[in-house]
Amino acid sequence: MITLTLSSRSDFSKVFQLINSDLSSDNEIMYDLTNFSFFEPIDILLFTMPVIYFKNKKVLQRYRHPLKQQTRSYLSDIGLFEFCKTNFQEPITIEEIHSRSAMPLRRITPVTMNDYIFRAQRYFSNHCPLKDLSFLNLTISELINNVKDHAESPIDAYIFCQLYPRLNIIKVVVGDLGIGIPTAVNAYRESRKESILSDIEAIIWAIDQNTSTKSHPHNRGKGLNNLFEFIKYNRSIINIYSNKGLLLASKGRTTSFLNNIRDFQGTLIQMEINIDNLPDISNIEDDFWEQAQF
Amino acid sequence: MKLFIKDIVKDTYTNASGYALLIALQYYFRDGQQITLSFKDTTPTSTSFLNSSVGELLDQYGFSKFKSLVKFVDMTVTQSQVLKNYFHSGDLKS
Repeated sequence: MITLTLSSRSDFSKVFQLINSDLSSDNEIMYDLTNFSFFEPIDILLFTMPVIYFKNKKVLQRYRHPLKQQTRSYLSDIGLFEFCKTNFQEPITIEEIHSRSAMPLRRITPVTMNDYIFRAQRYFSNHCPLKDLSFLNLTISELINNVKDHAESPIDAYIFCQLYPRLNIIKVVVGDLGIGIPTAVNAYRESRKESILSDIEAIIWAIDQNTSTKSHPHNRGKGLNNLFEFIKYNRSIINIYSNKGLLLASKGRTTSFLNNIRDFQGTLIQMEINIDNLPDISNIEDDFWEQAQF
Repeated sequence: MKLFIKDIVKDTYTNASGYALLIALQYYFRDGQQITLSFKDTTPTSTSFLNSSVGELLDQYGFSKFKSLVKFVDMTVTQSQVLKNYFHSGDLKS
């Protein structure tokens, strides 16, 4: 049995190292979460996606639950282990998690995302009835479409959303275990005989408003850029983990780092939507062309 | 002619829905008819949706023609911002 001791986000490096080692199905993995004390939505996906990956490879997996009661209750409330056990291919049921102000962890595609988006908007709008939550819809649809168009993920895309009432923010995280933004960008650049970029440079390239890998005829890119423009207006935060790169944009400032989850393969994007800065629901603009100054 | 997006597509997120809107709009573009496109009771438009609808029309007819034929109405601030971003980031052909 292989024991993976996970007590912080960077420990997920051990899991991704194992994915890259091409583990055979006669192995068994024990995830030791004894000292993991606080899971953010992003950690939920970092845990779920490899578990599903290994489940699909028929690798037996066990868990040692966190010691801290609060953490155990949280994981139980959001149904993490139950979800990993069932491994639904489709979001058969989508039920809000009232005790944690959250929308459930689900595997979704563009075909199945409408219901999730509708229910997420309806649920979170109960907490902020006067605010226009369109940015939430947009975030989910752009991120899920991106996975379908670019990622080639063996497990589709996973999503989890949670409202933090005291901070008045909604965290939305979407992840996949696909080829990652840098691979997609560099494959495109290579096809055009352009220089290869580092993983961080490639992520920055992908969020530029005039670039796209145009991986499908209908796909002109701009999805990530669209979200970045909204982050500026809304003073929200986005974290993009993709392969070896990590990009953080907060209140108009962008910072990049080497991904501290080593051997990570895929893309994980967490958006923190600042509810206070969303427009009011009643605002309607009249003349688009005049307002937009084209 | 006033068209309501909600009557034409079931969502505003996917390429498939964008394509359905494209088909509806092309009919009027071919005839050079002006269209008032209402966003009343619709969700914001994703980039995929816009690429398959507005993007295709921009490619086929150019920005000036598009602007002269389409008037957007009943938009929320967010919907308007999405479209502004889209037009600002595109290579707009006149």
